[in-house]
Amino acid sequence: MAIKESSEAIFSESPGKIALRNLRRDKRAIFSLAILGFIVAISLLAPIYSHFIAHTNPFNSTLDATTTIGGKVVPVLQPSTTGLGLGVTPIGPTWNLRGYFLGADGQGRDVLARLLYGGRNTLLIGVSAGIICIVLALLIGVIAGYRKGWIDAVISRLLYGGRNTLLIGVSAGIICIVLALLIGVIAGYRKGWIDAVLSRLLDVIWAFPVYLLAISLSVVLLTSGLTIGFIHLGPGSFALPIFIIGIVYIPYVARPIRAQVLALREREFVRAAVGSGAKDSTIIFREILPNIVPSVLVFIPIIVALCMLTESALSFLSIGVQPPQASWGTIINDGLGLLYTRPMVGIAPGLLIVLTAASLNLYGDAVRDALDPKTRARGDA
Amino acid sequence: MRKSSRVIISTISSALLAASVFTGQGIASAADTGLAPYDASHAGGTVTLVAAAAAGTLDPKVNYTGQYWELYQATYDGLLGFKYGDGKASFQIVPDLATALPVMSNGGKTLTFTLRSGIKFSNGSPVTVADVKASFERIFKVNSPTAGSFYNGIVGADTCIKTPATCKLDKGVVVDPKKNTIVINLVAPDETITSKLAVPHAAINPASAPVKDAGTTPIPTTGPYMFKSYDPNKLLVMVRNPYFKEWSHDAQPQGYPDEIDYKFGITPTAQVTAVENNQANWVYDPIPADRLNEIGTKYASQVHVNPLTAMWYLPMNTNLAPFNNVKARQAVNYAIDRAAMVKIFGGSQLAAPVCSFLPPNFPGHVDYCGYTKGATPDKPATTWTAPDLALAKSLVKQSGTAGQAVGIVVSDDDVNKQMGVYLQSVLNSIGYKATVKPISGNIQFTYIQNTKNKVQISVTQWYQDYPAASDFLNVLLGCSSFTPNSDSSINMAGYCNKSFDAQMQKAMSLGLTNPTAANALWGQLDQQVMKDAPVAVAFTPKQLDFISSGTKNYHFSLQYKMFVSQLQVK
Repeated sequence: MAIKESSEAIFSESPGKIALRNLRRDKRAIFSLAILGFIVAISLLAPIYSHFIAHTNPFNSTLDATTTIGGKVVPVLQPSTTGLGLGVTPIGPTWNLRGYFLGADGQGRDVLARLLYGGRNTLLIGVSAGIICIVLALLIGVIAGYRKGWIDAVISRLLYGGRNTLLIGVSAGIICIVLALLIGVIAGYRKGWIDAVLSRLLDVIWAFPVYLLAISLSVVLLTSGLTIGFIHLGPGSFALPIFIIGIVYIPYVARPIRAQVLALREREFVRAAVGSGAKDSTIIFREILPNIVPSVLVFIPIIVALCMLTESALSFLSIGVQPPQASWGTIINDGLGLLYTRPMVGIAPGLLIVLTAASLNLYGDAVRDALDPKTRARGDA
Repeated sequence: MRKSSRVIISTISSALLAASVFTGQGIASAADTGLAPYDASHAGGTVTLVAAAAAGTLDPKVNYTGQYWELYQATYDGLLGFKYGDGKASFQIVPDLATALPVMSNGGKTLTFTLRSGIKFSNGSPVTVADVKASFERIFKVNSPTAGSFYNGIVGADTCIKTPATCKLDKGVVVDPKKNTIVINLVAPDETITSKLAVPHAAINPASAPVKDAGTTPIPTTGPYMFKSYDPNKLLVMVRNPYFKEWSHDAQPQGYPDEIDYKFGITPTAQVTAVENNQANWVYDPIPADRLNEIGTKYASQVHVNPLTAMWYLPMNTNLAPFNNVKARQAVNYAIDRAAMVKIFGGSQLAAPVCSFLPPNFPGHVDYCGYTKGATPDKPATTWTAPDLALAKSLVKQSGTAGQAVGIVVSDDDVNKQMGVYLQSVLNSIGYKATVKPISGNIQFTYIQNTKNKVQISVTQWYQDYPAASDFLNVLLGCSSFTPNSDSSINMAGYCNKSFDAQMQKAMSLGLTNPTAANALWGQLDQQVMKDAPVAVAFTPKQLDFISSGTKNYHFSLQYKMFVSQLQVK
């Protein structure tokens, strides 16, 4: 009797509640959320650390600054006193939260303060770009998949053709066809591990244009900004990398969504809705969208992680977040010139990027499993 | 000129040489002497040079980079040359392919040379006066970058500049094959013409050389080495010229290595590691900041630091807000912490703060600084001591330009970017809204010259062409150097003051007869122009050469820097 009641209780729950309960029970989800929560929290506390603990402005160059170590006042940028006296080295980690905990960069700025501010910017851009990407991708994917016909054709060409036209061009197209033919024939014929390796290789090649497109857009837009009607985004605006990164990943989400909608459209319940004379908008919002929400939820953490990584890459290349603002990418760039003497300047933001991206991916996996237990079952098998 | 894109060219007349006072100071700088006699026991081996990138065309008439002019001294020869010697000895002009210094006549407008006999190009053909005439015509036919500035005084050059393809210098360069003489006729006396004839753009090439940029195809040489192959993405190979026989130890001495390989595509930090490991002999690119202490301590005996007559400075566009206001420009001069910029460059051993336009130890230089704490342009101090931020803020306020947006255009290498970020911080602190715009080092130097790009302020460098004040003041701030909408407008500040221009002309004329008085006048003009503050001078840099432990016989020329052909690896 008790078992029967329990079963009824389970079956009476909505899919959403079941997923949430699964998620709460998933240790990976809790672990990754805890890490993400910690990173977000310390990033939000950046001003408190800078102004009230370290008493420093991480956006001002302070090449003549000093700090106290063991009761002794020392310059933050230390001229060499050995050998020929060549070079000036920023102070290393003091492990003292009151100043230069992780040392200074080449401008005499507190690395930890910049790391925290950089985290805010990286997360802000990653999340914002991810949301833009998901929303636009959802819109495009649903419309393209549902309407099919010329709208689908046009949007699909825009999605793929835009990049292809810009990035692959004639020569790259030829190389692509030759390689694709070669790999496709070998993979299809041999299957097994060769297929797996070649498929991953294709994934890597497929990823290449995203960065190229992002770099191209960034280089162009960062010199003059972007003006669309009455909206103007200045060259140093955060909105620019958000916009750029959000746009370049749309195809990666829109494509699978489109495929899913194409399949859903042929399902009985959609056909029944069409047969009953329901409007397109009604069918999309009541029948299609609810069925692709789980996929979208799975996409969110993954895309945010991708956007964050792309932002870091662009900022590392000096075409993302602009100085004196910081992001983890810009701090790695700052650290590049100090790799031999002060590796912490580059390592610390690198670790945070890895930790955040890994947490997001881990959380994405947990969400996927929670929403679709069959996937986990297949994975376990 | 910029070190990376142009070359350190010093053209100096004998009179100016006497006036110049290069001290040769530096950690490992050599004395101001000529080279020791050739020691054949050290001949042989391969010298390997490493660089991040090649320097473009190999054509000596077209290439205008320090990177390759350093090689041309061992490959090409002109009628005249700069002496192979350390320190200021390298500024002495000596006869090279000519038998003697020119006989001057016609009030200094005619120069007569006699060509040495028996010299052959690396392809085996003899050097003739016909080759000399063709070489001068080729300067214009290939549109050499100095055709209009160095050689425009040759009779007939004006027509050649207008119609290069059909250039004939029948009246400007008159040759006599029987007497083996060359007569160069000028439209007016030029105190620096002998120096201009000694630089690689005036090198003598075979008459059969292409009348277009030869690109990666080597042109036969006359010096101890010739170019064997050139792939700008990988390697440049120089081997011994089989037809070379030393004719002047001062002008073109025999070289030591059998082969010189110049490898490209190696990052600066990898270059340093290669030299540390004896896998290469010399690093071309500036040593990365985080390797300086390492090489200065562990490899001190392999480091050579030599003075340069150069400056890092900030041109401010005097025709564009906010720097069309003199108080705004003066504010920048007061605000920048020159010692901080020296730190970014690598410390006090590699640079020194300056305020004056003419570098220290340069003809016309006066120790003064009108933009340091406690001084004014009218009551200058002798040296820079500290910035005056309070005065800078006050000047910005008085100028009414506070709150304006300022774009700082810098080259995208690490040091320049750091300079830009520092300057941004300074400008923000005195009331502007500054942004840094790093752009590729390949185009930054020309980008900041073109008024179309509306550059407000930039960070750049100037290395002497020749040790005369006119090369700094007249070239960088003269009205004739300002050409709107052109990539070749070296007066980046767009500063044009007719009265100042007239006084510079007076100083240049005075230089023909009384160099000492001329230099005194240049010193006054330096102080005068800095009251208008079209630029902010930051510091004067030094040259650091890092060579491997197995490399011997290092010599530094103030003219061409290191003598590659004199390095010994055996």
